[in-house]
Amino acid sequence: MKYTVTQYAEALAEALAPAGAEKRPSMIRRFLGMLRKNKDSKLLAAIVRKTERRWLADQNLHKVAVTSASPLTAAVKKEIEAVLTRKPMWEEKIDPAILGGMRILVDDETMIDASARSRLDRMFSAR
Amino acid sequence: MSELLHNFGVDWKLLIAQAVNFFVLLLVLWKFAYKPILEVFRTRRESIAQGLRDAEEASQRLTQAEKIGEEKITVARTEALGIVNQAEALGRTRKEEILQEATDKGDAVLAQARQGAMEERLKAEEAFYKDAEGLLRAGMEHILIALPPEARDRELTRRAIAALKTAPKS
Repeated sequence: MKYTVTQYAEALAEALAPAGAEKRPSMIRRFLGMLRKNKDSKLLAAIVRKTERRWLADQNLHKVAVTSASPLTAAVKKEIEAVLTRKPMWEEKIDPAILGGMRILVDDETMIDASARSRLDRMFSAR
Repeated sequence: MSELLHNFGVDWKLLIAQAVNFFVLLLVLWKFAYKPILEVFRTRRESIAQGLRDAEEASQRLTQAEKIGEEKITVARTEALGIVNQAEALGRTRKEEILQEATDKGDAVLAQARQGAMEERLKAEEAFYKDAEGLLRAGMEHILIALPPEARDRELTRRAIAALKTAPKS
């Protein structure tokens, strides 16, 4: 029988949730072995994403990856947190090449590009 | 009578003999001299008459040939005049065609040159705008880098948060 990505993800999340930290590596190895046996190894990346999303939802968290030209201030973080429905799990990255502003990626799904670089690109590609 | 003749020394026999001789001689001369001479005269006369006729005929032929020659010269002159007129007309037509062709070619070259100049101008304008755009962009980037982060990011942060509010929630 073939399983879907969602079925694999739910199974993995449910198996990992109650397990202690010391048991998780062996459970993950068994899970990878099962994927190989079912010839579904190519689904691994999608399963991991789905599992992570499930875990974040269970933990009432949003993964918020912010790329900015300079470090985010506490005030800015607070403003962002205020519009999110769950608590943020910050992943911050400094990239001076974006020149200003920021890029926000929420749960690897929603991308907000408010960088000065992208505004310049749009401005000069409009000609 | 006979005596009279005898007195005058006429000998009948001799006279007859002489008469016979005379007639024989006359006959011989008639046969072998007079007739051939007459024949020669006749032949000569005919030959002269033939020569005169030939001369007359040659004269007539010459006259005729001269006439034909004149006619041919007249015809040739007329034809030559026609050919010259035709050549002149053809030359005029060809001249007009060549002039028209040269004008058309000149116009085409001019149009091509204008098109080339226009394309060059457009290329130069394009290059200018590209350079200006590069300079402007580099200048704006320098200004953005030089600005204090709070002032620079305020509006962008506001926009990011506004976009995040309207983004679909997972």
